[in-house]
Amino acid sequence: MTTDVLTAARERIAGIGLADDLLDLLRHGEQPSDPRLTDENAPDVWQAVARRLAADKSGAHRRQADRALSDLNWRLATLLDDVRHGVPAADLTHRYRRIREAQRELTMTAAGTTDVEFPDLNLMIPATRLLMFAGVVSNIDEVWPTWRDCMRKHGYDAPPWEHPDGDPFTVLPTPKNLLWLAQDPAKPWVPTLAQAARAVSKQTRAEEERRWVDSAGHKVLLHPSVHQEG
Amino acid sequence: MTDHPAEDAQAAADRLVEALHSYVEDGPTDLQEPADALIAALTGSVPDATIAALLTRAAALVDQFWVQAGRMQFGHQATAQLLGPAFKSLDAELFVALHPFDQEAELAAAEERVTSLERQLTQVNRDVEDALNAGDIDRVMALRESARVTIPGQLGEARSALLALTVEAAQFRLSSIAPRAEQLAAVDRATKIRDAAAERLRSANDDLFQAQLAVENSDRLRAEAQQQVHDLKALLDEHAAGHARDQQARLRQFAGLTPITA
Repeated sequence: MTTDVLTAARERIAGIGLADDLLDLLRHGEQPSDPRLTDENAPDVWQAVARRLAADKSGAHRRQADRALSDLNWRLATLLDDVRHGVPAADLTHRYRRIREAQRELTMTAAGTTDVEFPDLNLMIPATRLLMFAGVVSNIDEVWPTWRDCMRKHGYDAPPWEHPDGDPFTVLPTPKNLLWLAQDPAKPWVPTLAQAARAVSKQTRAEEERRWVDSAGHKVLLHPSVHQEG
Repeated sequence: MTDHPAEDAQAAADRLVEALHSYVEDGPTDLQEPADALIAALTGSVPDATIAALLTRAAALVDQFWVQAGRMQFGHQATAQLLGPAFKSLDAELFVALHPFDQEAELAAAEERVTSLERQLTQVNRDVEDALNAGDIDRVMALRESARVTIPGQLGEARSALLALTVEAAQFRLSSIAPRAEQLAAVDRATKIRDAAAERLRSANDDLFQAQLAVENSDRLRAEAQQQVHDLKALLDEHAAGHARDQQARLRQFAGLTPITA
């Protein structure tokens, strides 16, 4: 009878073949589905695929990474569904952490060496920064309204998630955070680069609208440290 | 898992290593089958944890290949060359797994005995110190023999036994390695093949150099000859023009006409 440690090692070898096969499907423009891909192994396999995509010189890595990110998004939804249905959050933190690690690697592979462009905002930012405020939830403005003040080093409220000291943007893979992510108003996701960029653009335009105040018939741009109610 | 007939463990290990080389040098190939063959060959004779460590090392090698390939943007072959140290580590681990020392359990027990006696000696010395500080002479005298004679004596014997087993293990490893004469003969054969190839390469380079030299020489001669033809033609044209002028002058003089001055 094979022991657990040997089974795990064998599965690691199997993961290599699965990652190679998924890469092949992605390169042929096919949907990357395979019965061997499970909720348990998907993060590790997609991280392996990300490394293969990074070595791809064809330039199609962004589109291919997007398909992998879409699958991870579905895996995240399944995991949070399990939390809502009573599976102990502590049992799922490891898999959640692996999903976010695979997401990061796929996103950096998709971005390559270029910053992410926001044409309507006349802005370009590194993908790492985009992941900070659009990689975990799609509605950071709703769940943490003062996050921009944090970026600008003004006074800000603490985020509603557990985070390392001095790093409020990092959502730690803790049971408490999983419980928070599984409930409203949080909208957790694993976005593609384009989806994350659109979310940031939309929220930035909405924030700019809020900061204009109609005062005696004149529109004045509020200082970012002033919070506008409503 | 598929069933594999009993396979020589060394052959199974060689197949896995060959498959890994093929993967990194030529492109993705199946690693599952040689991995399963290795598991089948080693199960029962090697602990599962050891087999698992080998497979984990193999998987990590592939992972390292892809990380390097993405980072360096070299081709397959160039990236594969960066993995030389990783392959050496895997070879070393396979060798140890395939050549287990038959007194491994005794060696582990001997190490544990030495560790245990060292702990006991530390504790009894601490107890003696405490008794001295407390002024408890009776206790000091009761512990003195253990601290100064009994436990140190046992520890010395245990260390000797451990050292003897360690030497046996090293001798076992030595005997497991192919005889040096065979290996030297293989080196000698490979050196002769390499030298013969080097000689053929040198000879081919000589031929190439000579051929290139011949081309350069003929190019030079051709250029010189063309220049000579060009010069001679110019001389001929000049002579023809001069002759024509002279003839014209002679005719005019004969006709009693004044010569034309340029």
